[in-house]
Amino acid sequence: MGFMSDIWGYPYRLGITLFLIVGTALLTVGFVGIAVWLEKSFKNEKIKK
Amino acid sequence: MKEIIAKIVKLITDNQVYRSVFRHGFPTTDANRALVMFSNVILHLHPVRVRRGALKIRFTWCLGGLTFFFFIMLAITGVFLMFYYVPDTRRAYNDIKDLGTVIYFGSLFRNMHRWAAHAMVLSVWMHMTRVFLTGSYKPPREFNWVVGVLLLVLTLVLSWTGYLLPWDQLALWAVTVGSKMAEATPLLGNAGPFGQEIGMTPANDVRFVLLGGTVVGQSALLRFYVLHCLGLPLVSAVLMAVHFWRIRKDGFSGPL
Amino acid sequence: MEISALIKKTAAETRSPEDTALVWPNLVYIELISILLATAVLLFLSLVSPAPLEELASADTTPNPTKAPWYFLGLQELLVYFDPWLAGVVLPSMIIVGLIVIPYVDPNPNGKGYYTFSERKFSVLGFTFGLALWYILIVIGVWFRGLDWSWYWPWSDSSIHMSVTAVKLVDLELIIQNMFGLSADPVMTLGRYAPTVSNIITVLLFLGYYAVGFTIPFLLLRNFFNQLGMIRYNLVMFFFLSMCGVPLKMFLRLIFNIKYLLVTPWFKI
Repeated sequence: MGFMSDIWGYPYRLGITLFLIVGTALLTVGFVGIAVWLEKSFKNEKIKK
Repeated sequence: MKEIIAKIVKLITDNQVYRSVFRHGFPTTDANRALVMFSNVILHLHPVRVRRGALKIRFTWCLGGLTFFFFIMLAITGVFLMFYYVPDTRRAYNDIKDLGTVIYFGSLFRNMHRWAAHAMVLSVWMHMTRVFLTGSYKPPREFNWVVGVLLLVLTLVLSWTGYLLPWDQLALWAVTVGSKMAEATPLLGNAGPFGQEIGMTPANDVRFVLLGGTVVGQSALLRFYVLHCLGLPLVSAVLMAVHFWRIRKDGFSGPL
Repeated sequence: MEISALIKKTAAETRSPEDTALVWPNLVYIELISILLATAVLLFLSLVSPAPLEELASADTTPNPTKAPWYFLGLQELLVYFDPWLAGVVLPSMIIVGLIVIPYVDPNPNGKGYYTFSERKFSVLGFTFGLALWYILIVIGVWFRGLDWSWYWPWSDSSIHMSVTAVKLVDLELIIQNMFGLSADPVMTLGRYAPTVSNIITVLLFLGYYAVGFTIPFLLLRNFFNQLGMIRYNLVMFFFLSMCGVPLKMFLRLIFNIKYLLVTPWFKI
């Protein structure tokens, strides 16, 4: 498979790919985490009242 | 002491001039707190009462209001900058230099203008995220979301047109990169798909319209200047009026 | 809606005084404080980080790299993977139109006016994924691109050019052609378009991506389809699949060195 050769070589294609995947996943989890946190924090407030 | 203050207050407030401006007492009673909303045109953007849920900072994060505030800030600092700036390729760069060296508070105003612009782009994005996460675009507020998206686009274009004005390398090449993309517009750009098929050349396509020429030069600077200082802010102001009016009519989508 | 019904509805939504608070002082003071804080932050930033001013603009010397303003760097980063008409025009337009249609394609009555993930998982996940993609591309454009728009890790020396013997990129149709030993002769001629067998396969693969993407939820998640209805479903799936297509194309290019998935005389994807 010639077109897959040198995957670790410059320009670090596998590194960039992993960076993209991990970065996007982390950011998505972060945003969803914010949504979940806010959902919970408002729910708790309602119970208190 | 209290008596003296009361006397001074009476002196200031108990006359025809004061009453012609403020038509009610201090907003210390509920009646006056309502009246202040009715009689003040800026405060009138608000209703008299608002749902308690909408008051939670954790709900809105003040992002929409802050975006508007940054816009006001940009208008004020922008007017100041316009006194010292001429959109002439032979002058513009030196005018910006003068702001930093010979004009009192010139660099402060320029820095404030720049930071407020960055802040506005970011706060628009975050405001939009907040509105999405609270589902505040759902009926009956669908159209206001659309207006919001248009305002987002306007914010970005406003920022981008302002980027060219200092006429330094950063400005010229950032705008060159951007206008290269315009050239690639399908149908309307000479380098875009089907562009040449329908007769687009560098001298009549959408990039030419944007720059007023085939390169980023004097016409482009003038176009960007007029759009940045006049055209786009006017359109934004109209859309903002619609945006705020709709919120005023529909109310906050707050909880409770 | 008739006016009388609208008035009735508005009246029903009006809360009792206990649920509401006076705007003065409750909201006005929050606004005042946030404005003061924002002003303080802007003043602070203006004092510690002044606006840059480089050399006088000159068409003779091109800076390396030439970077757009930070909020457009995500799109500029896409230029590595897509032609300018896609990265600079079509994809941003699709983002804008996609954002505009959101309220019209989301019939879920839950989650109006409060934060919730549990009641609208797909929409929140879809939106935040797009947002994450937008921000990660900006991060890359701002901090990971240097000379010649090459990739620089934070520990790389950003003052030396990266080796120019970069990987050789191939079009998907050539890979298919070589892999299956297909003929390089065109099978037909339609004006300027003279496709080979492998070219037709790439067209089918491209359309197949959308076809399969549209069909799978229709078959397996019929509830999802029924909730949305025909028009909304097609709009949602079109924008969703296009959004997922962006990172997919990037991975194909990064891992398999594929330059174009689809080549026509007019445009390349």
